[in-house]
Amino acid sequence: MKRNSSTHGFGGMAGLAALFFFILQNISFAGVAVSPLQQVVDVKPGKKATFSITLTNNKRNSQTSPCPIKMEVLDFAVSDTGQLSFGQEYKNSRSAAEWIKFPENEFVLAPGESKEMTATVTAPIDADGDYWAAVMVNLGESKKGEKGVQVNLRTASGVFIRVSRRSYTERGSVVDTNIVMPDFNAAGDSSKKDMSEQELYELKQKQTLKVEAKLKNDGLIAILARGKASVYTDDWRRVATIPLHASRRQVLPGDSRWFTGVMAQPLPAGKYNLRVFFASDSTYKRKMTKDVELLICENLAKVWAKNFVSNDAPSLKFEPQQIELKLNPGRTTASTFQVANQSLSTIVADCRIENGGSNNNWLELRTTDFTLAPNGQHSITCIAKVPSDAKPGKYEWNILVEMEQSGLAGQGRNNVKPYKIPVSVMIDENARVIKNK
Amino acid sequence: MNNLAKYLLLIIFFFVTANLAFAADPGPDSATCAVSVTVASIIEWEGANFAALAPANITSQASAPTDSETYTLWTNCNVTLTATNTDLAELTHSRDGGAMEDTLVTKYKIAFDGDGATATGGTDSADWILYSSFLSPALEITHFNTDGAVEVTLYVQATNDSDNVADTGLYEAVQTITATWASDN
Repeated sequence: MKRNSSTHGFGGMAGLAALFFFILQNISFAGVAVSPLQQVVDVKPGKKATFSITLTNNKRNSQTSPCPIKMEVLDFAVSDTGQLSFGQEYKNSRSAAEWIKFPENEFVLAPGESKEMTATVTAPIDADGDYWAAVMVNLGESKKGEKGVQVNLRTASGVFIRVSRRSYTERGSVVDTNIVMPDFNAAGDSSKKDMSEQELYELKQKQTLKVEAKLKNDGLIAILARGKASVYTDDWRRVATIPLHASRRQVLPGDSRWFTGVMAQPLPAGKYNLRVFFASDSTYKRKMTKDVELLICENLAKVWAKNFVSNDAPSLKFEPQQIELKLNPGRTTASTFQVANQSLSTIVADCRIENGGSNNNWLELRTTDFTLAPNGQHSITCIAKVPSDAKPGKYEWNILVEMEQSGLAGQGRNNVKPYKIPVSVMIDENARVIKNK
Repeated sequence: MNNLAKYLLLIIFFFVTANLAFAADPGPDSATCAVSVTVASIIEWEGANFAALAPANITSQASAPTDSETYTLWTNCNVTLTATNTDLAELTHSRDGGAMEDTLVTKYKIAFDGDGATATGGTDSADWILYSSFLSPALEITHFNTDGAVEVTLYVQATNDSDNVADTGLYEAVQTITATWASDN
């Protein structure tokens, strides 16, 4: 982003006029950084725990002004499509809003000032499982009686509290499914010569099979769900797999969430069984599956096959395509790369570090699996920790991304395609170890 | 314990402490300390003191004045933006202690200096959106590596109803833009 120095454009106004305007408007910049955006707090029943949020009024120039802050602990709800809503009206039986207390809620941050706000969480003796609330940081002051629209800016930081009494079993159920058949009614429009790239993409999206499944969390702890639909023939031979994606895959207790899978590749005509199932990383979980019937008629199969254009281009695009780091011994750093799904289908990917010849376990991935909707993007952070006794040289690894895409698959075989992101750490002969005397 | 034993203990104590006190200076020592910094997820709003959006006066039935303000959103992660969709965000004129009210058709739109594909940003509003549907569903801002900021421009448009002219007076509204965590932070 090319940063503007002012929020107003003045074009070719003369300097004096601009100065006069500035004096009249008394323009000053205010703003506050909030970190982190979400955190997990563990607390025992009937006990207290603390967590912190850091607020900073960064002084970027001489115009930075003091910023009044109002912090509120609010209830929030997540809709079945993953939308967040904040406020007292979203109070629920697993609200932690009343458990969280800050020593002060309203204050002014001077330019350059940073404040670590530590809150105390007090869990009731009968609490059991996961609870949540949000810390809402409101910037600026209300200005009543101003003409027009007063704009308030605020930032929400999620606080997820686990009150552990025992080992918990994830209890989820697939409560609803929906199949949207490919729509070729608008196919005639594709012959339009003046169709934009976006219009063409939207048309192609309509010509895909969509599987929607709603997962409900019936338990006491959140489920970080991964979903997939498998298509079987009448005699239960698997013919296709469809990874399911949701913008927020963490399903809180009592919540439901729609997951969607998209498949562009055509299915032959026939009667199929479609099995939706969800998994998670938890050791203790119940089976979360649902079977539905899927019928592809002759006509649809014919049109679908006719309109499908096989694309040999790679489904995933990585930016950057390799990571090259030049580090000193004792240094820890994080490097991020972006993955974009360029296909019309949903994908799921597992990532791991592959030692490229060296047995050094210096790299760690912050997330090891993700799903992407068509046209979706995801950032993967790789943390490199170089030991202080590391010798000069070049060290190499690969980040292996095993991507499974929606599509036809044989029995016992998935549509898995590996991608490799080379990572290298160069330690210079003259690199010095960071020492503290 | 008899006196002799006490004296013996005292002598031993003296020699031990004297050895410690007069021990040779070990000289400078160095310790290796690994320095690392983890950058947590951050959202920072920055704006021109959050001035109000003040469209020009409405002077005819067909007037459609607009105003805009640009804020910088500094971020190192994906963010979602939501807006107020209640009547609070609708330009309203109150008199007689709120017993009489009139409203203007209040529409918003948002634009970014990045699209999320090649720079941090999101999808601009294609058109003016009525306050009750603005940023609903939430708008996703995608963080692009090494680009830690996006300029967010908020626009407002005020118009009369198509078959009416609003009462004279001052019209006010409050629009709250909330930045929240996205699922992959």
